[in-house]
Amino acid sequence: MFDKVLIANRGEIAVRVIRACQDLGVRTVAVYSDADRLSPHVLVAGEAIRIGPAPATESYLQADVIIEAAHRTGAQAIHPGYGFMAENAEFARLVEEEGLVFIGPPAAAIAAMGDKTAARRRMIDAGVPVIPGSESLDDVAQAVSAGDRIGWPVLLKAVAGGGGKGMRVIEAAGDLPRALEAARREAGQSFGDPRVYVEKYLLDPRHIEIQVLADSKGCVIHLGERECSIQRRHQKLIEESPSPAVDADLRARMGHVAVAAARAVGYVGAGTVEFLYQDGEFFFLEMNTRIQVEHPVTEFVTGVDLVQEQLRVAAGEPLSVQPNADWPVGHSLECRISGEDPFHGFLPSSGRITSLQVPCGPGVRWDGGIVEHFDVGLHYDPLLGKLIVHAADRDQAILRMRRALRELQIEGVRTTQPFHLAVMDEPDFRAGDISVRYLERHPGLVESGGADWHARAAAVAATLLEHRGRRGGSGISVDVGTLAPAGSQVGMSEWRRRFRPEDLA
Amino acid sequence: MSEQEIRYFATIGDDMREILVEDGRLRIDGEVSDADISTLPGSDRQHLRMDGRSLCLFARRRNDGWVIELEGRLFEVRVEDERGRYIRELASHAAPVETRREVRAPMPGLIVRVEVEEGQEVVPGDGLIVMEAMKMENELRADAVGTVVSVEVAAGQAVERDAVLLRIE
Repeated sequence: MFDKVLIANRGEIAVRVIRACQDLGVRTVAVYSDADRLSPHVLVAGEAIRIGPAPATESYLQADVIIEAAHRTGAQAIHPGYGFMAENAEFARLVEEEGLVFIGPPAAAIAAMGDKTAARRRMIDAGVPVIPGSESLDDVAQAVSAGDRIGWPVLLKAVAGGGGKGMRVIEAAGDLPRALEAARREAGQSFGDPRVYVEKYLLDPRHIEIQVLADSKGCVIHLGERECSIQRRHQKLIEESPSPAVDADLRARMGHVAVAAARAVGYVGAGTVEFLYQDGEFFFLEMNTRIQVEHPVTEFVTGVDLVQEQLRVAAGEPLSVQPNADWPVGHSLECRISGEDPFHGFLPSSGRITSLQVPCGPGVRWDGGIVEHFDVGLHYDPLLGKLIVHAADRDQAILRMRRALRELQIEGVRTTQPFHLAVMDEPDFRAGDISVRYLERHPGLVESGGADWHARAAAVAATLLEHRGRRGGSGISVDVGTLAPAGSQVGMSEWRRRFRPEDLA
Repeated sequence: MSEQEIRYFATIGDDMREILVEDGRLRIDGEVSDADISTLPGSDRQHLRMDGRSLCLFARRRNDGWVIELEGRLFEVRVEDERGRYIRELASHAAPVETRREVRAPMPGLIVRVEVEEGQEVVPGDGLIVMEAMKMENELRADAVGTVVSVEVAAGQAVERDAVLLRIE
């Protein structure tokens, strides 16, 4: 095992990786930008190195500065987390050239899966079912004939893309000329590669993905599925394992295909093979060659620490786990708590977290990247933390998530917490009747100002505070009442005891 | 010792509730309610007991009201007594038609460019400010004829949602 690992990331995933290292007795080096001097990953790491100003392009994306920090601190390996440089084959190559270990798959596997049309061809060759689609397209005529062949509507996608950027649904051939031009421009701007292609647009699929682990000895296993259908514009919001749509037979078939996909590119480490599932059929979407945001749900239902396995495999050790016929054990759910306002189009919300209380108790895990008094800025991904629960079955997991969401108290920034609370009570979600169009079908989840009792409680709270301020002669929240010994004000109402501090004298 | 009844008006958006406070009792829109609030010393953290519910929330004073955060939802509540409400209503009827307008940030973001100067006249459609949020640039444009009386931000500055960027008369 490594003696020291540098974590080239920030936020909750950097904290997560540092924890895995520390649990294995591995020393850690955090890197930080000026905006992150006091961020949690810096506070929990063994060492911390400044790598530049706040913008990611001048800090977390500076490959040479990060590699230099590893050399300087004597770290033998670099864990990229997700995002930033996690799926940058060039960075992986550079790290290896510098005599360090990149904790992830070989650069060639990243590159093979990063080019989406090349990946499709390789998957077809490996016998993996893919969504019918085209090669990269040069002009409208090619795109129209591809659409006619595979059937409308089609989805226009960037060859080098990911994360939903630049995707467009094309209903009919007439929409293509404008859309193709715009998509090529956007792809060029976002990925430096203007090539686009089309594939069949599934009307109502579920997003189901398979977690795989592979070591350098040739052992490749899968750890079952995660369903991530609750999305907004291709950004996942809620994930779970197992999927309510997957039985043991389907799990075995999808797992088999995912293992074949990983083998086809010589995969090593932790990876995720994403599929769209509709009407009993599943189609390869893409492979994410990194640890994923939603990995904890798999950890809960298998008991495997995926980040520790990444570290073992990167250190040349074999996987420490074998597939288990009892998987999945129970049910796990994850809600992404982002600094976004669900009632205003999920616009990013910034500000200071003036108060924070994270949930705990049985079956609850909080993977967070925030602390009290932390400033949420606009420089990085808005994910503040992830709330993950585990229970015996799906119904109990939902109840547990609702409990944990209520325990979570974040003051100062708007977050997706109230959205998640609303979903936990929504009948279709509770019945497992979900698809990637779930949000479209339930617009009320992001429009409502809450239940009537929310507004009533807010009005009553404000009025009582106003009244107390007037009675007490000041607007400052001073509560002498709570300091009085229980029962000392016999005969006086609780309310009055609280609001007439002068009466206590 | 009995305290005098005070009639409050608590308004959230267009939704107003009449809340009577008298001698430790509460009446919300005529309905008797059992409620009290307690503050964690030195914090904005409150615990509200109300109608059989037990609720943790945050409260901060702002202008003529309170900002309440409850289960991640934000409520701005204006609280007035009868006299305060009367005065405000008089003032709002007496006030001249508002001619001064503030251009506010529609989202949090970075100011990329300020395209006007103080004293400059603008007509509808004129670009005022270019903002960047989530890596997309957005241009804010004038929607009426006017004169820029003040510019409150500069290029490179990060702003919150609703921050005042410009004033136009």
